[in-house]
Amino acid sequence: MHAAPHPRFSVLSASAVQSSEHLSPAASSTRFSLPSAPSINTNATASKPAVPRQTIYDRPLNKIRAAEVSASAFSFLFSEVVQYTQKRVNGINDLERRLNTLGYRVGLRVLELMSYRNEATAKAPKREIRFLPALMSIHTQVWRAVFGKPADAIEKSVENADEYMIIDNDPPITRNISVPRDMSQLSCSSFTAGIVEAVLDGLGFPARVTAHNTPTETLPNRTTILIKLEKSVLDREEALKT
Amino acid sequence: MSHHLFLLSPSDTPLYSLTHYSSKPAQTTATSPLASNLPSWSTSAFAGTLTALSGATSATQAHHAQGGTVRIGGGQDRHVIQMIANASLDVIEEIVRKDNMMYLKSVDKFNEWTVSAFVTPGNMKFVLLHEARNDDGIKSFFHEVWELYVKTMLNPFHTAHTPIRSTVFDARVRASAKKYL
Amino acid sequence: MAIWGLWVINKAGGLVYQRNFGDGLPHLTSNEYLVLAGTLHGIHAITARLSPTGSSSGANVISGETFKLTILLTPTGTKFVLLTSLAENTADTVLQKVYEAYADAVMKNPFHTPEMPIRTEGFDSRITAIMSG
Repeated sequence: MHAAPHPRFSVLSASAVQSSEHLSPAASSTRFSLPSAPSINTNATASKPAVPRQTIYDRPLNKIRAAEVSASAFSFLFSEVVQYTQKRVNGINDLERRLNTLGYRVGLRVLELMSYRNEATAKAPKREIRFLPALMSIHTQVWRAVFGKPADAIEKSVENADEYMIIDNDPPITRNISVPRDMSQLSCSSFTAGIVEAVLDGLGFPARVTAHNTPTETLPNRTTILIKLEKSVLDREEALKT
Repeated sequence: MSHHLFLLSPSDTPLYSLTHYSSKPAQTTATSPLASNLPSWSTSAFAGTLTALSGATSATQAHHAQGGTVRIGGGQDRHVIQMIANASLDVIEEIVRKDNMMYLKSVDKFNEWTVSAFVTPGNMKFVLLHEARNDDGIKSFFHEVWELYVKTMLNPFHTAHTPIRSTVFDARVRASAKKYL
Repeated sequence: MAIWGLWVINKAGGLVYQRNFGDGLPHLTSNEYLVLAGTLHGIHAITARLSPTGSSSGANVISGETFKLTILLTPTGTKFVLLTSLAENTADTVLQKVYEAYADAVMKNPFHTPEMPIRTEGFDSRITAIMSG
């Protein structure tokens, strides 16, 4: 008798949906109904032990269309993330560092999940061990997994051999963010930088990754993710060349 | 015939361990305790060294004790197993830099033990000590552990350095071990 | 047909955004605008109460001899007011677009405080884009 929760509530556990029914006036009125009338409350509690709670382990990891999150919902969440973080820091550098840390935690998961989705069906699953292919896969695969589109360009620094840049002309997560003038140094894409840093770190290319606003006449939101590799990475690449 | 699985974080902290006794026919005597295959001096020598190490691995030991349907002969044997697994990490690290495969079969050997490993893109290492050759079974086993690990990773309360205490995870890994090992 | 001005009034009657387009409107000080917006808020409240046929969202259009005010009231009480010529017939669709831009560029911007004056570059550029068609 207990109806399946509306798909929109599927993020809630079954017990959460049930407890909300307890609070609703309609449900409590059934307590005083005739015993013969089916009561939502008693049915729900009785069926509880029979249906074990579904865990993450019971759900497939493959991406399904319906699992996509609304960009608006994410924008509101990210806006709150920035506001929450801003209340707890002193200065722009600190704020960027905290956003980077949050992104790092996302990136660790993105890397594992994305690799699983890409490689699980392969006969012999592979990892990236060379830097340039890894950078390419961040530009396309990671961006596609996180933002639904590849990044716009990869550049190599002319002056410094250890610096690479990923460029996004209009980063979706900062599309609705207008940074006030007195904070113009701030780039909320530090979150994205954190994701990139985690992916590189996981693959064994430790680096310092930062985000910078690099607007052009036609692209006011253009953002550059700057990757500064640790020396060990360059040494290793050199050794692998032979 | 027993199998020993260790999940190690990118910084080589043990996050999960499992000992599995296979019901499948074994070539060697299933019950042979490790100590009998080692020279007589070795266990006592290890016992001394490994007491020092045991501090670092207390998380896994605690898990053994509570999860404990299976226990190897004595505390010393378990230490030896951990020692072999730890020793193979250097070899694994060496291979990981050059080989782009996730599944690294038979990377190391110690007496009757063969060590196979699986390294995820995030540098999480699964190390398995086994006695008999069973490449396909081990590969399938690792594959399922990988899937379970990715799911564990998706838990917001889990980090790459948190010991895995989920009972569901444990049950799933055991079921998978039963199926493939 | 012309659009002369846009006001955004918060639910307490404070003017949080005001912009003129072209030179059609007399130049007033910001204090005068605040007073006018407060007055409009009051008038709107009266019209909402006067309805003889149950609940009402209040005045939609207030017209004068040469121009009209078109008002869009959101469910949260924010009002968007567009000052146009009498012949302008796109006021409703423009207001709808303004509302959309407000939801995107203002409400999703972490640096905006709700109910406070809107100082968001993104909103300014969205409005410019809407007005230039």
